[in-house]
Amino acid sequence: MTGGEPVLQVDGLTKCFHGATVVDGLSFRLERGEILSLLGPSGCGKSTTLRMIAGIEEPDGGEIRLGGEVVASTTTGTFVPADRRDIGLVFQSYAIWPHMSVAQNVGYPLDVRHVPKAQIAERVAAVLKLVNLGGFENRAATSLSGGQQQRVALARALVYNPRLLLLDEPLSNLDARLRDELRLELRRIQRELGLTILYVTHDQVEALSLSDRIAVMHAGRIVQVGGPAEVYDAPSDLFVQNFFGRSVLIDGMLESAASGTVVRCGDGTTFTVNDPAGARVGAVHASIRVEDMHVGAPPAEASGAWEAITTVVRDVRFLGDKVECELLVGGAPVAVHLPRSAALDPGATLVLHVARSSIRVWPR
Amino acid sequence: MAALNAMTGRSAGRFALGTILLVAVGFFTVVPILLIAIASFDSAAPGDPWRWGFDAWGSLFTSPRSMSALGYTLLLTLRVPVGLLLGFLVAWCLVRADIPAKGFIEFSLWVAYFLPALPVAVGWILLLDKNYGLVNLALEKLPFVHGPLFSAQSIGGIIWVHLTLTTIPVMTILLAPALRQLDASLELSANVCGSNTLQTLRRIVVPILAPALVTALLAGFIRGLEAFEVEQVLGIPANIYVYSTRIYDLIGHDPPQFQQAIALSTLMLVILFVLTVFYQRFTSRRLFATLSGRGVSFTQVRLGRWRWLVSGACIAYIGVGIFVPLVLLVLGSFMTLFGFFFIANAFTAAHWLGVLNDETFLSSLRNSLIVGLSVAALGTACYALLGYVLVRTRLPGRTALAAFVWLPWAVPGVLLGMSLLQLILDVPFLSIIYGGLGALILGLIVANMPLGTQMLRTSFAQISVELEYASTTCGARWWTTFRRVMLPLATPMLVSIFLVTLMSALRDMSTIVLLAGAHARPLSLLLLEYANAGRFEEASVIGVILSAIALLITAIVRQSGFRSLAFSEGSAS
Repeated sequence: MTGGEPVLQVDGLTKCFHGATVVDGLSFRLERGEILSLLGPSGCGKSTTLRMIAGIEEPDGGEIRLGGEVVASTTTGTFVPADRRDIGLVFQSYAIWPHMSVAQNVGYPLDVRHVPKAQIAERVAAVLKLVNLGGFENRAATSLSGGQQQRVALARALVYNPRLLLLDEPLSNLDARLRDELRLELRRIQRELGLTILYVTHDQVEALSLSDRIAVMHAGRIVQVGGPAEVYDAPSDLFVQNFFGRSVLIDGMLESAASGTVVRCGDGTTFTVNDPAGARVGAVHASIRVEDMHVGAPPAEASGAWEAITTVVRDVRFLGDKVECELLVGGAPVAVHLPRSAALDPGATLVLHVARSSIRVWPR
Repeated sequence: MAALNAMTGRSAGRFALGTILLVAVGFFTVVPILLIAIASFDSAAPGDPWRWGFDAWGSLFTSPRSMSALGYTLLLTLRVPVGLLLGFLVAWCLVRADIPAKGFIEFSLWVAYFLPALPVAVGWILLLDKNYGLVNLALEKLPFVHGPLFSAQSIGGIIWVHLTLTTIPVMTILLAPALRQLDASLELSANVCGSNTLQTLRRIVVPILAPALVTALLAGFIRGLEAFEVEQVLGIPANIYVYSTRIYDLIGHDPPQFQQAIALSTLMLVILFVLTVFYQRFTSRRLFATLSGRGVSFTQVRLGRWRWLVSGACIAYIGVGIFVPLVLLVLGSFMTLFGFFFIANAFTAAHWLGVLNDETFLSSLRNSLIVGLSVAALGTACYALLGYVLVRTRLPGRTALAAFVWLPWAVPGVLLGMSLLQLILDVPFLSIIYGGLGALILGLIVANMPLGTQMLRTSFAQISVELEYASTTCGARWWTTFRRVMLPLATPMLVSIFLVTLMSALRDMSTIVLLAGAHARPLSLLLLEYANAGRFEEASVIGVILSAIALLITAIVRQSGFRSLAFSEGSAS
């Protein structure tokens, strides 16, 4: 591996199935020690991308380099099979071999590399300890719980120090508590070993909390790449905006008025917005994240321009410590949580304060 | 994709591998059939170069015996629709009704399916022979009966033996899985709307399963033509020939009438081709969309008091159809003179001692073991490779390969033997194995290829592909992955295939009867020879031995589950 080369570089990667383009000219790079998440809804091509990088799917176009070495290229016809790429792969389904013990599963990659037996045992013990499965060596792999099996799969992918670790929705088959636990542990192990990881997931929490950078995918393309805060705070389009967090999406018309640029909603509500970059006068979507809506006065430390938007309470649902209030914001429904003391009834009006900078406008 | 493609990587390597497999399989399945067809238009004298002409076809159509053989062949297929109807009823009772002794009934049907037919036919001779059959003798005691009522050596006798021993069990085994997959909520909703069990069966179950029923019917016609030995032993004494015994007869002639045998084979292959085309059309648009394994788990239909009657009828059929002839076979092997129960010293162990000390028997036993174990071992290895390639690779020519592998399923034993004989005689380097055990091994590997490959295909397909990817991505080459991940996981199925192939090889007569030379005779052919010569005492002894082996293997295979076998048999395409 040459010094400055990225661990992984993908250029114009394309894959078609039965005439449909599943991965469409994807390009990105992954630096040493970095975690990059491919994030997107199911069917966006993220798993296919990962499989092409792993070498279990052949690309129909483009090039993949690992540490500067071309491992797949449709222009030169190069295709290095999976077993010679020196990468690790963990599946959502664990893919633990049921006929082998834990130690046999984890030791297998070393065994096929003809590492001496004593050394295998030593490495297996060390890596099992790393994933908190010390002493599980002789257990039957299938007798373990889902979380434990996924740890075995991780150990099996780590034991030979691959240059790149590919994780394909590794936490999706686990229940919520285990998922959080394993996510934190994955982060710890990555830091400890300085692993380079490509992480495929549809879960925004996993992507936001684990990644150094996130590549948001939609319909076979990357729509935005950036740090977690960047893609969350500055989404490049409505798809990305909707993918993270909860937003209300209001249909309206963008108009020029004396006070500046305003959005006029179907129910007559209007509010002023900062000059939008992409949208022109005409039909638009305005979107506001739920956490940016403040009931009552703006927060004390607030600065900049604020908009007061009058909304109608449609329904109030009791949740115990608080109430869930369904509001119509410019005609669009959104549920917000309010303290019990708010004591609202359906049909009442409620004024929301929203910082002008947190209202985004997208062409419709 | 997958591992094999990873091994070769480049398309050139894959192309080469695909071509090699296609040529190798095609050479032993397609080429022999083409050779037979070509040879049927050869009018040259034996030994002379090929010359275009219709002599063979002329001799076929002017031979009354060959023509009547075709007629009898057709007549005997009447057992298939009858077997389908009865088999469907038995299958429905086993799957849906709350009858007692289900396990026993199902196991007995599998026993019947695995039993060699000829020994059972010999047992039936003891019961139904015109002169000394026990049933006939007993009935003649009745005042209003004069002369024998039944004859084993007749069309009725042949149909009876096939129906009870093969057709009904096979149809049950084929249809039971289709019934099991049928979403029970479809039936339950019919019941809820007020239709009773019979109405539901007639108006819901049968129409939904119609494609499966037609498929089973066609499969029954095609596979029913496999029959040879029962027709040989029960038909020849009554001068009843079917196409397969006629071919054997023509080859056994002095001098052998090869040309007519080849023309008859070609004609049958054409008929089979037409049947197969229909069969393929039906299997390809099988309506499994409505059949889901999920759905509501069915509650069993309550037959009330009828359940004892239904179960009793099934058990009576099994007793009469399978176990009574087997018991008589054992008795027959101890009889001083076969069929003569009422003479002094009617029973003796002399035939057992004679056979067991006979050099011919010992060499036949040795041949059987060599052939059986070679076929089972080599065959299982070939089927595993083919099954894996068909499931897990995208090698070019896979569709053609699958068709080639499946082809022998539609070519009954005698025709397959005839075609392979032609291949062995025509291809220079292959003629070394002519008349030897090698020819038998080859023939049986080809004959068992469709079922063996199909079963392993199914079993490989059930192993998650990610288990393999996990191996290749952590650095294992294709061969290592196949050996250390796939094979161990498929081991139970491989053991089943090994045993089923072994048994099929041990009991086969029709495929090898034309391929075996005088010194390469396994036990099954020795049994056929004794039966042909009317030496039923010795035939019974060998029949008991073969049946015992079959029962033993059936019991072992039972451990690994029959259902996967049935699934493969039904979906072999």
